Amino acid sequence: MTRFIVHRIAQIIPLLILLSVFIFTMMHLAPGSPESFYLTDHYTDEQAEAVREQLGLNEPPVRQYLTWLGAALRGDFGQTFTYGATVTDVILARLWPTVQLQLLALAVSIVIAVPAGVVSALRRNSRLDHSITTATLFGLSMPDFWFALLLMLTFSVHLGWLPAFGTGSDGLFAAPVNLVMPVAVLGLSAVPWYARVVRSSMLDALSEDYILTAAAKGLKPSRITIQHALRIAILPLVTVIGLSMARVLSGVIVVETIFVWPGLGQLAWEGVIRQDYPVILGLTIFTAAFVMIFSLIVDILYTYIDPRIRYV
Amino acid sequence: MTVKDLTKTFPVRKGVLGRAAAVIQAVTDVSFSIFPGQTLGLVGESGSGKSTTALCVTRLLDVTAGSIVFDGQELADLSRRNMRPIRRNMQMVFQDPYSSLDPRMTVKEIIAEPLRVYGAYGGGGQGERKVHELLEKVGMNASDADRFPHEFSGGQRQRISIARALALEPRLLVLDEPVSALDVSVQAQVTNLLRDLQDAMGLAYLFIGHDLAVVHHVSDWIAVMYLGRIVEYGSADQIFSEPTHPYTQALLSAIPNADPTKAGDLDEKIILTGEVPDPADPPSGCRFRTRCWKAEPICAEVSPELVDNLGIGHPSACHFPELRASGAHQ
Amino acid sequence: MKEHAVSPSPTAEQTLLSVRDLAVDFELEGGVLRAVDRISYDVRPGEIVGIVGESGSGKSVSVLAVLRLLNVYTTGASVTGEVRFEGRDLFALTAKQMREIRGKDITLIFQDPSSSWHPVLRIGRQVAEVSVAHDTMRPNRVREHVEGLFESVGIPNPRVRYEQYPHEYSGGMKQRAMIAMAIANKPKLVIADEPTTALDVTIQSQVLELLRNVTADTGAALILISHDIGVIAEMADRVIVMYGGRVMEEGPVEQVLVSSRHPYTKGLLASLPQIDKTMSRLPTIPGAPPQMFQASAGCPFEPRCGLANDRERCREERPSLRQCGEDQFSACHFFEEL
Repeated sequence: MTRFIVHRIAQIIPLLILLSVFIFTMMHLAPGSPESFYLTDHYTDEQAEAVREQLGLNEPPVRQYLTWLGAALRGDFGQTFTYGATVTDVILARLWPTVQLQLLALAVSIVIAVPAGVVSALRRNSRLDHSITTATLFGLSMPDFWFALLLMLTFSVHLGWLPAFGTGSDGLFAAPVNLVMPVAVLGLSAVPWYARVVRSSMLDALSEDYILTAAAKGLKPSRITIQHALRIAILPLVTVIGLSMARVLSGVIVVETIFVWPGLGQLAWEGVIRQDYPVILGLTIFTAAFVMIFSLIVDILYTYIDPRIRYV
Repeated sequence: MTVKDLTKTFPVRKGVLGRAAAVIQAVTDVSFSIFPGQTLGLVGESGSGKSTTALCVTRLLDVTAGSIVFDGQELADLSRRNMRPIRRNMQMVFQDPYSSLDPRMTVKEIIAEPLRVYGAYGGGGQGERKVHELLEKVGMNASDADRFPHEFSGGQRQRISIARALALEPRLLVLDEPVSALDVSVQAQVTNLLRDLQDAMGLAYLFIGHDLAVVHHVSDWIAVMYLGRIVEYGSADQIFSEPTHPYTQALLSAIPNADPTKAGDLDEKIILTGEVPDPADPPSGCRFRTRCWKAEPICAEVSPELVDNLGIGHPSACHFPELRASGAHQ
Repeated sequence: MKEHAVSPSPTAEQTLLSVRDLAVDFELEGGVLRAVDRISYDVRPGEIVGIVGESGSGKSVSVLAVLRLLNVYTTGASVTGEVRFEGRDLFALTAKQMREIRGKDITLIFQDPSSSWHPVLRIGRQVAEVSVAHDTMRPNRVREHVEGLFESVGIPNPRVRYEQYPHEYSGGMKQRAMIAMAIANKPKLVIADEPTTALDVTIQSQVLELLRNVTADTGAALILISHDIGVIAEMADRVIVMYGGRVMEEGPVEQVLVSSRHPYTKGLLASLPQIDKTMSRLPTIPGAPPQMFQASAGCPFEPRCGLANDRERCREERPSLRQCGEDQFSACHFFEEL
């Protein structure tokens, strides 16, 4: 097990380097130039040159990359172009609001999706099952940003019940009223996926021989459903949740931008608009590392929920 | 076909780099001969290496050591390409008639496939006639040729598998548990068919099975395998009437007898203790000793040779062989 | 004319389980499949009844129907007839009352040890669950009880084995644990559906011997379902031969398997290879067991039967189980000709 973990971690570093090469190339191929952020509408070539000099952009790209890589390997992701702070500091400052949002959204999606999937499977082909299927299809086809705008229009503009943007708090935790809409959008958008996974894996589990064994033991249906069937049906859900974390950043970009949530998603959006190379690079590496470590954690978690799995 | 000292090991891979950390000796020093027009039965429980042996002699698996001489030619180290012309002379029939036939092909296509592969199908309706002949040979109708496997029962599917195996007129058929998946009332039909085909075509069979009564019924010679080794080898009647290896004796005694007047004496039954050990870590010396009631210290030290110690005409690999009339003859 | 299977009926107080006119229909897309066609039989306390039959004979479906387990999670099975256990009509019980019988008074042992255990729960816990569910053990004593059961079914190291998962057990050990679970609540009837079919012969002997011993020790009756006539011959007191969803013949093992009075049983016995007889060819039954069948008007074995001889009565009239010997019953119109 230890060997497995060490090996997996050792794989992460080269992957991240490869990724940074790719991102770096893409940034430099993109049109526009980062120095424009510092310049007024009318600027001289000397002014532009000075800014480029200051930002280290006048060096040949390969050299720029190697300098960045050298520092990054020592844990220094450099200065941002536009935030007046180091990349690490900026990312750390934005981390907590996003984590708060995601954890709550995950909790919401599981709390809704698991019972919906289970009920759907137990009452297969009933009216309830069909309405859940219809609702999930509806949810699957509704774009996040559209749903977010609808919510905002209804609850902030018309009814005035919920604040339209911000965290509503200077403290550690965002205000509950401010959390409602972003969490609803993020959480509900995952429900259809999760509910469908749970429904189909529950149906598989319920047709297994060991369910018949459990019934022949005289167990109550509730116990058979939860202790026996759901215990197995939850395994694919863990896999899907692990995979969906790979899309974590793209999900929050939309939601955080719309609700002006000071998290990583908003940072990514701003970074791209301002062509703040170090922020984009740093954030990409950070997210990629997070995804890889998260999938490692999921794999390790698997050995606890499914004892048949052993890594050597 | 003569097989000598056939050995097959599988590496057990461990660690991230897939280094071979141990080897499983699936088959160790197995020797036997199969004669034209006769059947050798290979009997054993799971883990005995009987199916691995079958895959080795047909070279569907590579051989670790030993020799396989077929028709005067050594097969053990033949390349895949050089194996091709030989393969048409030895065909296999598998256990499961449900998964071994492609459900999207008609019976005709299934049987014609080996002919086409070897360019023996022939034009002008010749191939078609051949397929019809084969179907009739295995007791089916020529009109079945255009139907699909799912339209047939298990027994009929096994007949189709046999027809496919016979298409290239092989000299040896390797039958891996060909009747185990069939209903009792259908098994006899298929074993009879196999016997008729053998008589008519002079085929040699390597018949692999776990049901001793069936293996005895179809075989001229029997090799009893345990954990990768042959423990007793002789004519079918010798093995059944004069078994000298304790494992053979236990195996025979374990067959439930359908005649309740003979099944009465249950105390006479030999019931082995324990289970077959892990082939990755077989016992030292005699591999059967952990379950044997006669085991002595020497059994842990010296692996017994397969020799005829009692001088009764067939060898067994035991330090203490003795005759014990099998239950069926009391 | 409506034909009722006349069944061998011992007096009610002698009967532990009585099955009358049990029929199971499955509603399929192409129509209705009759899997069990009005069968009747009795099981007396402490006896071993063997049910022998080939695939599609309805032998497994019939016992699931008895325990009302067919509709647990599948739909479309309809069951008719009457089943009495110790005089109680099982089909009239509430779901809760039925649960109290399952796993306590009547227990099941399934064929495939690899799929009948929940793969990610510890074996010990799965066995313990059956005692906890029926309140037959105080929770703090359950583990001790289960380890004792493991000991009695020959599972070495009960302490370690309790904690292990199914994939750490061999097939034979899983089946021993299944037997431990079946006897945990001192049942009156154990139903074993092909309990040794997936096992090697030497392990099969071990498991059969164990099954015989534990049922003898606890005084439980045993219904042993098997396709292997040898297993039935060695284990059972009485045998029921099923074909095409019906009972073909019934009686004491020594009578049915030695002097059968039904062409199907006779044909089946003749087609078995005998280790003490060398024959170049085995007698066979032509054709194959029916895969899907409507409730046939006559005898389901008629198309393969050598005795039927195309007689109209075999095709048209359902043969009833008639007494053909002391305590022996045959469902053949013409058993006198045998």
